[in-house]
Amino acid sequence: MATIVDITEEQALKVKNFEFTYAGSDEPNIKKLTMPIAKHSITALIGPSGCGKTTLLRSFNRMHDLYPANRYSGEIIFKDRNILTKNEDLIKLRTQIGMIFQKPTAFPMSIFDNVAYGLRLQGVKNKTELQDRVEKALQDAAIWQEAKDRLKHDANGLSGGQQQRLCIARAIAVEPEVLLFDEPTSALDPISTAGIEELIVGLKERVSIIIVTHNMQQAARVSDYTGFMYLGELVELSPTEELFVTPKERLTEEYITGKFG
Amino acid sequence: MLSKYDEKINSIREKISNLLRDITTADELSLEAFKLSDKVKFKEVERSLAKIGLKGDDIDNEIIKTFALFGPEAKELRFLVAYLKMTNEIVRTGEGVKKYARKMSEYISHEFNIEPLKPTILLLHKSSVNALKYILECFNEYENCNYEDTYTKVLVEESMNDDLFSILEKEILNRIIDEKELSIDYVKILGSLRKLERSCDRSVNIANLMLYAEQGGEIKLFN
Amino acid sequence: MTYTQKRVIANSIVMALSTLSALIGIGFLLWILSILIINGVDALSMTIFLEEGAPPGNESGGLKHALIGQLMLVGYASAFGVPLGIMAGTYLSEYGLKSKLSETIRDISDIMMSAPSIVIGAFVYAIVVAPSGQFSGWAGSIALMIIMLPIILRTTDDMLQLVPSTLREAAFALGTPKYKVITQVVYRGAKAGILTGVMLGVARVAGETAPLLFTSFNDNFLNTDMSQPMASLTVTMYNYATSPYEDWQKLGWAAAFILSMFILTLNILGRLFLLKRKGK
Repeated sequence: MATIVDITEEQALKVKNFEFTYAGSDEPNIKKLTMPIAKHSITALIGPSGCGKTTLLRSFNRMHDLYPANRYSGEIIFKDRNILTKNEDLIKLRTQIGMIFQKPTAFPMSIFDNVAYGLRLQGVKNKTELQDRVEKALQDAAIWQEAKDRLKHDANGLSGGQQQRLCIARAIAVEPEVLLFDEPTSALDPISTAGIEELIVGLKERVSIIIVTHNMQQAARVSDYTGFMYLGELVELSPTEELFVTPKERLTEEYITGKFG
Repeated sequence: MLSKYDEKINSIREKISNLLRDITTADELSLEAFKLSDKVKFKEVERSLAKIGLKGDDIDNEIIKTFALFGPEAKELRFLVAYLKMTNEIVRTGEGVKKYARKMSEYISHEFNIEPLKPTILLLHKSSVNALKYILECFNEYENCNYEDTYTKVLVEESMNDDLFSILEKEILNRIIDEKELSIDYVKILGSLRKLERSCDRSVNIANLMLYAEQGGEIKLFN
Repeated sequence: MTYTQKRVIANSIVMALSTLSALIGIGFLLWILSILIINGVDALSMTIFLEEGAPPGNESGGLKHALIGQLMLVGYASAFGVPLGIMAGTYLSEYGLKSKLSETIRDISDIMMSAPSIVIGAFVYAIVVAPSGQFSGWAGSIALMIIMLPIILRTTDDMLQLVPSTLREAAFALGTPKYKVITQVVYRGAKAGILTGVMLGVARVAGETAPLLFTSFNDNFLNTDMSQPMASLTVTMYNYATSPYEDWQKLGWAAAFILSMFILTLNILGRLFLLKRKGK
């Protein structure tokens, strides 16, 4: 029923018949969803509130496991294995699939310690290596200039846009393969938003990116593929250039032209 | 706007510039061909402009995508709209150059005596080429181009072009009266020459669109 | 008189009355403090800190035994009570969350906080003093610990819950195991608040008298053996103040003064910390 484009290039992730029900609910939030995610591209998930896009995003790094009694079935294939199995090493998975949240979440420690956090977790102890990798991550997140003289200062002294960049630096320092962005700019002003968008576009050379956004224009500006979700189903997945010019599903067209949501 | 947007715009501009250059070069070649009565050169003109329709479509589709994805405003919006309409004018101009080359090629082999008309025709053709050159130069300068200046120059060229065409029209009508049996051929020649005149009109439109893109206000192509 | 005028007058009356009440309340506090200061400072001298208790009439009587005893009782109580309280609070906030068990524990904790401390003293008497046949410092510390526990538990629980869940999620999303999320991220975020809870808890038990009466009893001389009855500032103060001897009474005032200053400082510091934290 859904129109899903054929992704001929390599896939970073593949969702197969994924169904998800929140604890205490009878209705599944996501209904038997199948979807490929292309590698080294940016895939945007759009749709009205409650369509399941954030739920889907948080399934990729098993965030739902933090809260008991959620139920799910189906498969999510990553690196030739299903990551939804009980014996999946969640710690390892989350170093390969990172996440950036809506509200900037700088840890209550110095800027340096924030970025080095993931590295230290992995056992990196060598001071020089830490310094090099922290610097590289901060440069890649376009915040090195602002941070280099304040590395030992508390991260909470940074502005919202800067903190979000810090979170991005922290996530890319561990060199993940996939980065999940959960409405990364909805708490930021337009200038910071533009900066973050540019940063995200620049990252796709190295990581595959999935971004959930309620801002259609952002999806149009930034992504290579756009998936439109509605009531827990994937209605359409197309190259962004096509979806916004000639959407294949009527529902997609109505959403994009603002008829609902 | 994002660098993604800049990339898109630059790509569109480059395509339009290339198209414009191809057509201008072809038009100059056509002028040479007519001067030297060289059929081979005329053939070359036609060949070089074989795919301009497709190129125009490609540019249009890129512009539509840019509208859909980036929703530009103000100057960016005006330039994009100008590019969309300009492409149309440019492709039509190119088609005109192509047809002119094809028709004129036939008349050369006719041993049709248009020698006395030749100087005026060359002047007419030259002014059309000049107008195109002004446009091309201005387009490639982008922000640094003085759009007012260009518009004025093209307008001057166009008025000269109109005068030359009127002269030719009169001449040919006289000849039709004298050589009634060749009247159909003369009418056809006049039709071809009109393409040169139309080309100059289109150059004015293009200059006008660029001025609109820069200054804003409302589009006024039909003054 | 218009309605508005009536309202304005009523407003002014109520404001005057409430201000008056506040002033009366503050007035009593200032009165208490001033009496304490006047009598306490008068009795202060170096001998208090250097000399042990002496029979009445002896010039060289001091409070050293009571001060040391108090420090030991409160110290041991804190050494066990603080970690226990923090860990319990951590369990509630990070593991138990809103489960039935956790809510029950929270309710019980609240009830315990308002339990009369003398009852707790009696309880410890029954389970420690009676079976062992004697009063001891351990019994006193245990009683204080029981009083301290719910306070620290509750503040830790509340402060940890104030740490936004997205912060935890961000730590998990980097592949952090749960115990590290708690110790490296959540604790750091709630550092000030937990410290405040600890300070308030210690301040509370430092001023307890009744439970000590049944447990550590008292000693007029220096004793550092926790398995024996132990002197405490509070009980000593009670004894000296109610005695008929003037020099003992003076020492009682000194003890009251020292104790009050200690608790006041701890409370003020604690609340300042809390203000700074909540203001962020």
